[in-house]
Amino acid sequence: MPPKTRTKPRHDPKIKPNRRGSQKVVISLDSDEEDGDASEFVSDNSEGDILPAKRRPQAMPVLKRSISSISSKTLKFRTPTPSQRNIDTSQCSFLVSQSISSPKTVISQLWVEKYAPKLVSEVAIHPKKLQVVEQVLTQMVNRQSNRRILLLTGPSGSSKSTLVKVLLNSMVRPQTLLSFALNAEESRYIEYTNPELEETSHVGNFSSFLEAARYSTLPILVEELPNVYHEPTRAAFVQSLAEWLHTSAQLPPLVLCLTETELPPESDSPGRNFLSIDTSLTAETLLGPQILNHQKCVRIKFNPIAKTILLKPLKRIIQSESALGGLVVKRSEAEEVLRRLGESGLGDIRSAISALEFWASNKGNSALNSGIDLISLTREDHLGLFHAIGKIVYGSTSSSNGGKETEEVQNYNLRTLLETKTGKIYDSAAIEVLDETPPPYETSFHPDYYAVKHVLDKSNSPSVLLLSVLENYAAVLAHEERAPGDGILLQHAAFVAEHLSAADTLASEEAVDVALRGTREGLRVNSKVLSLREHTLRFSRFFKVMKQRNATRRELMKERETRKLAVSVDDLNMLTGFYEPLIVNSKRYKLKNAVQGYKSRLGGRFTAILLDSTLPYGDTMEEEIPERTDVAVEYSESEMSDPIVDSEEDFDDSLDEGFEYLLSQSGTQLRDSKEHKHEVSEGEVPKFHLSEPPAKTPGKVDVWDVTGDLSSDSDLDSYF
Amino acid sequence: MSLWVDKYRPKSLEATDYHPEIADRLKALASSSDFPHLLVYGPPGAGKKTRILATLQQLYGPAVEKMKIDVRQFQTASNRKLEFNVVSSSYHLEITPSDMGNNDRVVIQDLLKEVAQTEQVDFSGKHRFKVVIINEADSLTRDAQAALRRTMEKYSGNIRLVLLSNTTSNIIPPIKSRCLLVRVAAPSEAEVATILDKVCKKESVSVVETERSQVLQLMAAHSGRNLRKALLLLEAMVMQNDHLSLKTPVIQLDWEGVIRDLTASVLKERSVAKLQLARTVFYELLSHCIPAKVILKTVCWELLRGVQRDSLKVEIIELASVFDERLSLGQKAIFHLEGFLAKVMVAMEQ
Repeated sequence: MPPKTRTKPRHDPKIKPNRRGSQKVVISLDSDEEDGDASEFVSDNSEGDILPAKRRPQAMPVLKRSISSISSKTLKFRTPTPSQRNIDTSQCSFLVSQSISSPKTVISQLWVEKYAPKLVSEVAIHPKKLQVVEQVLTQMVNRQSNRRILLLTGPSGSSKSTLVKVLLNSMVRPQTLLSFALNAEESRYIEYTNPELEETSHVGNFSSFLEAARYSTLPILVEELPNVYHEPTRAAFVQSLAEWLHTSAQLPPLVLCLTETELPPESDSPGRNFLSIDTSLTAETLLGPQILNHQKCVRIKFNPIAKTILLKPLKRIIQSESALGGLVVKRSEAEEVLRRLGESGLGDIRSAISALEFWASNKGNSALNSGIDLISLTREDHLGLFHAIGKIVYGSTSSSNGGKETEEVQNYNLRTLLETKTGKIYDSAAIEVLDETPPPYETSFHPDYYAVKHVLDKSNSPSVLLLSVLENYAAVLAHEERAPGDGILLQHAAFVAEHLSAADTLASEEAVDVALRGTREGLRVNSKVLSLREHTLRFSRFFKVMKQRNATRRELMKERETRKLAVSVDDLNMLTGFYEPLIVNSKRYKLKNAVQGYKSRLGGRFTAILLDSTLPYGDTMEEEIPERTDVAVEYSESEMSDPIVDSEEDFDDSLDEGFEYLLSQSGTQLRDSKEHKHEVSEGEVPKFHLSEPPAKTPGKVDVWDVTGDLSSDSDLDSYF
Repeated sequence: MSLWVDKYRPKSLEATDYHPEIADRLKALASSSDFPHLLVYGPPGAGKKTRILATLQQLYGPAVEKMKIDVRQFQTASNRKLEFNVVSSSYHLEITPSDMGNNDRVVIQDLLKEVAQTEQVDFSGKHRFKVVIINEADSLTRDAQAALRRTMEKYSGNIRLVLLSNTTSNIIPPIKSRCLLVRVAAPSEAEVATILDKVCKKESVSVVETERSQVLQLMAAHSGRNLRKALLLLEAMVMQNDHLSLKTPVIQLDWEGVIRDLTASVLKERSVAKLQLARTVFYELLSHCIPAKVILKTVCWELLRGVQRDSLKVEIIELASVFDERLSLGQKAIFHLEGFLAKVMVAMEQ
């Protein structure tokens, strides 16, 4: 869907001066570029970074004038410090020693800044990922692809922005940035800074920035975000990005670095359980499908940094620190520290370096250091919701604890757990599923133990987790299914559902344990853990359904109250709510009682959900859609497109935005009723069988979900 | 202009069409000087409320029909203000605990205390007590029921309680033992048909004369012996059609239609993919406030209708009872509905 184009920015008096101002910048930029073209390309030489001095005075007057016309909000460009310039290795070590020799910098500079990578090879990242980013970025910078936005997402400390900055430094020829011309700084990119830190911001701040920046030739880097927790600001942010994607003009590449975070819910109150930008800042909740699925937007996901890659820079830091004499460390000691840092399994380089620095600075202080758990110094690890679901549903088995299996691990048995907790005895079908996994496993411990334990320890909203497991487990099994009636897979599905149901009746902690283990066990078909990486994980619809349920309930109660009805809410909903509109809306009733008006079904109409879809199973499905494998899965699910999403406009006010993003993003194609109409031909209208023999009631057609007049036959097909 | 279901609601005990023995008993109770606490139970649409309102009429005369709605304020333990509507006349008041959610204990205690402490001002009245009708008493929490039990004893001089419920199984024994239990059974199909016939005549509905009894029988059967449903169905069908005949389509309830589609599909074939789709159906029903237990029950009956094998029928009933219990024990209905359907699918495959 195309975004709403912004309402004629040219006629907006507020924006006009900004535009003019930025156009002036452009002129000067352009002239600058021509000059630059004439000069030699000297980016590898640090001395050549500065433009020939004689050219600057020419550019200056233009500049000053343009700056004065630019409103202060418009251009908040930040130039990188000179230390981020591209310098070769010898100079690098020189710089380091230099900064250390000066006592002032030793105090002020943290290791994280001090040892920030200057070269692409120094960035802690997987070489393959590096290659991908480099390729995309090169194409974008050289205008070889039509890609407009490069979106880098990942947890904090996964080298996203460092990599981009280092890459841009090697790719882009520096330019004197105009607004800072007095300092004669050069820059290789334009960076957005949030003015909120300095002054009050306004909603359109980011779009003004983009407006101004679009005429630049330098790539644009967005690392800071405007206040996206304020919904209008977020909407404006997304809108301006959408416009950026849709304009036909030549635009500089835009790199957006997004650190994805998930906040643990503050309480268990239902309102906090929605997947929204408040609880989880991810590309999905921030940008929505409109941007993410756009072909001119590339998203590259960063993972936490792997252990070996993480340790490399740490080793280098220890080496250079000890070489400079700032740190006296034994080899064995250093190895121990590195081993422990690596084992923290965090993959956050920034946090690891800080921990190392803290350790080094307190090394002499034995009293302080002896009791310190190095791992506790690093950022607290916690498992995101979707990560946790994935861990359970995709069936990855974690490694062992190094052969030190406790009794608890060895006695890990789902059957005993559930039988002691619930007193429930398995039936034959469930035992069949359980027995598929022969007790002596390849490893000395149960294959699920660590995966489940990890999720149990690190996940922070168990109820949401279980609901989301319910939402996703069947898709994994259904993918294996080739035709209906595959008894074995159905048994496994029932096994999982059974455990989730049993867990719901238990106390919280045990419940999660039972449910997760049951799910894992149930998804292990023929001793093989099913794995379905292409399946898009979905957030549970539960909270949304509850919200709608409450809305319906409120509506019913209000109706009962205003009309002083003496019926229970359930009767009002299930009987009167349906029949009354049929009666009151009929022509006959209106004629007889001389009344007008239309009454709609209390609580909204039901949406028809087609269960007997003629969708092909398995591979045939994938042939139909050749593009991406996961599209095939999404296709099968589009049938179960959340009917609630588009059911009634009554609920519109209560819809949760972030939630909708997720639903639509995870392959739930919103279908409107028109599409349903196309799919159901008249013959397929579900026939209703009375308990009486059909001969007695010839021509009886199932009539439901109708609130209009049914006297004419043509109305019959109007209710789909 | 009211619906037929309200228009033809009998106002007095003499006018009730069936269960004459209940009418006689209630009449005897009302005319005696004392009146016990009552626990009236029976399936929905059987006429519990009708009989109780008629009894009140018998007790106090036509003045009970002058009803008003008050908004009362209550304060919960956590100092939250609650607003709650109470339907009352000068002789009785009526509350529905499901309106107050988890705070029903507070509301019941406060309200009953307040009513009980004010004596009847009108001394000309026949009775010195007020009647408190509690609708849907089976949805009272245990907490509230325990509170009720004490209140019943303490203030029995000034108030009489009438509890209305669909089943006695959710009501704690101490309350049961303090009440006179009155069971109002659902009318038989023949009785429903008779009432429909009566209404048809009064409204001069045109029914094809040769098929008259059959049509009314059919509607009565379709209503599941729920008189409210039968009357609504009749009016809806009359309003939609010029003449009623056997050819007239019987209007099916929308949510029942949704469940029927589901079960028909499950009876045809079963797969994990279908289980997944069924979850959407369950969510849709739940979002429309259809109680989970009703969904489970309807699914169960519809499945039984389509299943031939007796052993399988037994198995389905057994599973339904297991998951019905879990619905009571658990928090989130969707787990149990899915669990039930999954287990049934497995049972059907075997």
